[in-house]
Amino acid sequence: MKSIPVLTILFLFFLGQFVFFVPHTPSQSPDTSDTSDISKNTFQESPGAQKITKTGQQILRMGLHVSSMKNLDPHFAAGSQDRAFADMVFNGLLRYKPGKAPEIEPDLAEAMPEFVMRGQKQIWTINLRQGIMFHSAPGIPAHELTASDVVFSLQKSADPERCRYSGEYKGMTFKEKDRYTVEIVLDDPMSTVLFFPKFADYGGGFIVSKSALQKMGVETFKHHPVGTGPFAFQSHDPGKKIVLKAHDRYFRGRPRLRGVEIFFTSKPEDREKKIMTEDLDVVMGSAKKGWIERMIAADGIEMDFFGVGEVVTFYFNTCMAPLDDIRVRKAIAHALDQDVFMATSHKRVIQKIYSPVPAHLLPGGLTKEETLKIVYTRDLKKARALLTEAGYPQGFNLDLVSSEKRLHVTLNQSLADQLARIGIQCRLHVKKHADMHKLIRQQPCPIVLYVAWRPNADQFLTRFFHSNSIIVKGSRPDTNFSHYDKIDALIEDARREINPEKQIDLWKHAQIKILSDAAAYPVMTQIPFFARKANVDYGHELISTLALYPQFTEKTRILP
Amino acid sequence: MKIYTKIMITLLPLMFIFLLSLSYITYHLSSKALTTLAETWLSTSLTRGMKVLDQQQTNLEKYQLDQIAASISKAKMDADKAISSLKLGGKGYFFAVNTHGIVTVHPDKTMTGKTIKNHKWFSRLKEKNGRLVYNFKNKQHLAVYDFFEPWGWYVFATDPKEDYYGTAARIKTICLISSVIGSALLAAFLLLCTRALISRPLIPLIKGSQRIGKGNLNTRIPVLSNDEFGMLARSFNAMTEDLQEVTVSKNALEKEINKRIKKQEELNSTKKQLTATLDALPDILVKVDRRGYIQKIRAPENELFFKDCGSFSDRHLMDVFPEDVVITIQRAMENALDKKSHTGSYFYLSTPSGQRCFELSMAKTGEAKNEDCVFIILMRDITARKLAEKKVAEIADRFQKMLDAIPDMISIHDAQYNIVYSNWNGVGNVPEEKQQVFTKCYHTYYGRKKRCINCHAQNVIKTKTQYETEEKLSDGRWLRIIVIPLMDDNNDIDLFMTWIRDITEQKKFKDSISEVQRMKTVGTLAGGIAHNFNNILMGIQGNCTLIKLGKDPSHRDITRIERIEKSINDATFLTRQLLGFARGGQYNPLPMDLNHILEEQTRMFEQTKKSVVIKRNYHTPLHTVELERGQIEQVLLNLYINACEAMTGQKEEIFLKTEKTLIDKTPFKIKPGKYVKISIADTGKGMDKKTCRRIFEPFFTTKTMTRGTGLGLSSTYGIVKGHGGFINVYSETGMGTTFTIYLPASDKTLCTETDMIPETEKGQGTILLVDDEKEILDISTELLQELNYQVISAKSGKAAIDVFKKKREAISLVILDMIMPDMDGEETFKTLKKIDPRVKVVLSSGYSIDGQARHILDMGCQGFIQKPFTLNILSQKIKRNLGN
Repeated sequence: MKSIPVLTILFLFFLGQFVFFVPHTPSQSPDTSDTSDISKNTFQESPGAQKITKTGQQILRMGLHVSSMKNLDPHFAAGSQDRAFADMVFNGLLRYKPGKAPEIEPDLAEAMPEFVMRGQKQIWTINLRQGIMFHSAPGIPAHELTASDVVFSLQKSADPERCRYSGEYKGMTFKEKDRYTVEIVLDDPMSTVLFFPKFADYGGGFIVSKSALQKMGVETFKHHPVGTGPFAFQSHDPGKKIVLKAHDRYFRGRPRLRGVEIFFTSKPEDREKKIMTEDLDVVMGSAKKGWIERMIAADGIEMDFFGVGEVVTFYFNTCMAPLDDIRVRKAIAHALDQDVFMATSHKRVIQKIYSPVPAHLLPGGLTKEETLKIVYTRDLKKARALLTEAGYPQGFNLDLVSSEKRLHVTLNQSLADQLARIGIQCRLHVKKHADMHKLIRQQPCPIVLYVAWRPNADQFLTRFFHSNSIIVKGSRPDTNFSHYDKIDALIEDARREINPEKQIDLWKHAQIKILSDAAAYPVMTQIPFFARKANVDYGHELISTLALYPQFTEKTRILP
Repeated sequence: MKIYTKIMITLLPLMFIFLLSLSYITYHLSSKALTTLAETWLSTSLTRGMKVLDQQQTNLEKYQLDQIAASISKAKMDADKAISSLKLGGKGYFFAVNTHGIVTVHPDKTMTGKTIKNHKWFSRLKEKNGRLVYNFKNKQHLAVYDFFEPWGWYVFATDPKEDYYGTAARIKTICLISSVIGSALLAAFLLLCTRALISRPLIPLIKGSQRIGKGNLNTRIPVLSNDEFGMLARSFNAMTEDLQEVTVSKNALEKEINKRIKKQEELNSTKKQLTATLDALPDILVKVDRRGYIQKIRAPENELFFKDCGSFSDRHLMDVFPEDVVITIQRAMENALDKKSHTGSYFYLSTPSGQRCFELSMAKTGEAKNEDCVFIILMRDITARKLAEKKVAEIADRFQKMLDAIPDMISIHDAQYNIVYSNWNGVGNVPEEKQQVFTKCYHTYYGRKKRCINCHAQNVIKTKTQYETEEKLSDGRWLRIIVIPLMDDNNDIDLFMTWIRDITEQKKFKDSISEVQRMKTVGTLAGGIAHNFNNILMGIQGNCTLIKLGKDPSHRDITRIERIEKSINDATFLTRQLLGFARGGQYNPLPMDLNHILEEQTRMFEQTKKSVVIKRNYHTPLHTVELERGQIEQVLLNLYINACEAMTGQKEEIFLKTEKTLIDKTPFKIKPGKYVKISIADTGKGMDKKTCRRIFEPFFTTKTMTRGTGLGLSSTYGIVKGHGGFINVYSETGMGTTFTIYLPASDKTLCTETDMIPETEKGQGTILLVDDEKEILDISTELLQELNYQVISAKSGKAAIDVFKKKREAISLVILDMIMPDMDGEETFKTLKKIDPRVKVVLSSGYSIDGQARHILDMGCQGFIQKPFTLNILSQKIKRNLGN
């Protein structure tokens, strides 16, 4: 008994000697805290598991609107749930300021990159912060991020087989100059407006671990991604939840939360019930009637409405009869009332737009004043006259495909109702959301309702209106449901323009042309909204975010 | 009206009109040139505006937007924005009007959309381009325009007149101001001319005549010209000179009279003052002629010797003063003849009030060769002063002797660093040729020409406070230097005293004391560690013994157990080394012949290390020393091994020497007296001072971990200390190392050792086993039972007391752990003794016999057994203490 203190001193003395003489290389020391076999990685919840851990830190539980998540590779993130996950686990070289998108600031990079011109090529140099650590994973110790990881990651982003957004990185070469410096060579120079978003924490901009991907293989990585973000993947209980733990060596500081649990709660009523009954701290909102009002009225619950919103647009097929006649498209446009569409959603969650690129969220969009001469106001008489002039005095029938999602069904139904007034009868084919996406990409449809967000005007215009992006027929088929090919030169010249003001002018002219040709009918943006417990502090102001959820960072916490 | 005023009134208007005309011509020419310039500039600027429109139209055509009204509208909006933002001088701007007279571009957005077709100038517009002057908002504008055909726009680059005529407008004001100023300047010029030529020659004439009229005859009128004004001035001046001559003669006579009266008064006053001064002097004044005859003598009233000095007049000095005094006076007179005066001699005179000393001063009046040459002799009584000077000299002599007796160096310097005094030690510390005062201290002590950079006295002069410091000299000596300021009446530094003491020995003593304290602390820690290891080893040793007892000697596990026991022995050796350092080993010293032990151990070492030559130098007969043989052998072995390690790759020689020595003073806490000194010197690579300082620390080693534990020299240190001695090391890199051990001599008679090989002996009786560690309690119980004893175990001192109270008759012996919580071994022993003074107790501890254990043994405890112990040792201890 009396020997214990002395022995302890002796033990510490020898331990101290050992520690002193053994070379200490933290960046290479394996983190063995999570090196169990990946097959045992299924989450096991102990009975009566507590929200507050032994260390006093807390776990934040969020309910999302989906029933599952399959591919966790950030370069394939498309849905808001994927983007939320990627936002917590990964970083980009740059990042949209948490809660303040589209303002951009350096993230893994030390400073905002600058370029020099070498001949016709534009060279961007990016200096990385030092000491940034990747998460550990089974069999893969925590390790430092280097230029090699960045080059590998960007090459992956440029590969169509390994990234959904590969088109963004075409004509770019990535070089590792030294351990912490990366050089990006652009065959075609571009402005900062276009360049920065490609390397921010969105789409292909997320940086993955080279060694993790090489050791795990692509398939395993999809189920156990390794990033540098504030939270590390811990386990996935398919159909139930994903568990993230705090990344203790996160370069912006150890997160105040112990972890985050993402629950799959596809039913709005489930999310409502669980946030009311203390099971969840944050839930994705639902535009279902009464949902927002009940949340606002509930004690201890706060609602957050924030940008950026997904853009809701009807695309008119300019090559498919009878819409290949501009008079028909204009007739349809004059038969529609934007306010009627907007009335289908809660006014707090929508914002009016005047062009395919939302002017209030991105540079390059058209304002109300700029579209005064081209706006299609509801004028049924004029619509009928145009139809008659085009040879359809009695109207015609249209087959439309709709997602099963509430927003899609509601808006398509409203469209059908409004067109019926000028004799156009729509047959609505409601499909599962994924099937709808598949269908509209495989076969031309006369009118397509699409809800999406793109990080800049070039993305919007290229992917929805450039001839290369025409579905099936285009050289790089994407989402040009309008089969539109009249603004290719404008899009390409704008992309090459490095003077931001001139670039924006070209984008605006392109959209005037689109509207003039009635190739699309912009409806609105729908902003995300989440309900949270009043004691949840996100740690940042919440104005807008491209991650499409409130963003949990190292500063997020649950107040006592 | 004065003349110049009249001239100005005539000429000024003419000049003003002339200048105004000149200004107008300048203004007219400037404005014409500016208009031409403005047109050119507006045309150039218009080109920029037209380019904007061209660019927009080019884009519309390029992207086939020129038929889309919204695109054209946007292009026009963009053009409006771009053109409106173009800079055009300070107030100029662009605007555009379509062919219908509607304003399409204008920086003032309220104008956009308004029609101007009713304006006359609009109807004057040509189809292509041109220039235009028009009024807008009551301001005249100059515009240059061009027609942009695709959009049907007239584009104007316009600038208000006030902007492009700005310079001319500014010139206009300047011209006017210049005319006014020019007129004013001309007027001033005319004024000056009139004054210079007419007014100025008249003014001196008027003023001069006014002064002469008032009686000022010194007045002279300056003659400035040869004209009528000059002639008039000369006549005035001739008249004034005649008048002045008469007045001057009278004034000079009056002045001379007054001056003489004043001088006479001053002489009378001086005479009175001198007489009063002489009367006030306490000295004796004698007036003597060249032959020595006294002409006059004056003495204070209380002077007895010169009481009747009136009778001394006309008498010779020889008649009044003794001969020796007269000789002194005559010498002074001779001296004074040469130098006019004499001072500094004195004489003694027997007076009615006793022997007195007078100071003699003398002055000569008149020329020596003349008869009227006389001497004024001043005799001052300095008897009291002479006595005081004698006393001061005596005190100074005593003080000098006292300062010389101080072993420190004391010197006094003035503020200019001159040494004004130094005691004998101060003088003795500098070369003989510099042993002189009033030289600069830095020159005397350091041979420098300038003050030392780090002069301590400088700080004292600055701060006026005492300064104290310690300094190490290059020869290794330490000095304490105190500089004390000595202030004058004004509290300024008059002198400063430097007191320097050699504290080298004091320093060494202090360092040694610190070293002893540090080693003591380390020793305590080492002792604690060894104690706890011994407890652990006890558990392992006991279990091994018990396992062995239950097994056949041929059993294969026996070999393994013996290997464990060997490891325990090795570990025990280490803990003994530690306890050795901590002075915690168990010593049973006996008076022995050290030479004999050293020789035996040396021979044994030579056999094992044949490459080493050990040269002996024993002093015989040597003092007897009380020591435990095993421990001293360990010391010698450690030092030999250490020497061999140091001599790797070199000539291997060790020098062993014993001597008798007498020690009266060391920094260590040891008694003065006779000692035996053992020196072990090697020819190895030696050590630096840093290593020397640390070699006795436990675990400090310069060897690799496979070669040494770092405990050899620390245990040596502890063993020597444990024997009341001390060990010293001297080494220099490359010069070998010498360890010197001092062991106290003993008066006891030498005794002979007998080797005792303990054997396991079984016994009988009941033993109360007390230990707070269950593991040791269990193992010891089993060992005792193996030796046939009945065992009662107790987990604490209190439990032992309870058991002893109940069964004291049955208990033959108590084996008592020393360190226990609550009631420790000492307290338990005292209580047991109180209960039964005959109780037999053997102390058991992982600590040494020293310290607390020794104290308990001194209180009557029978024995001590050190953990870990074997069955043999345990049986022997019990047998010995039970008296079986």
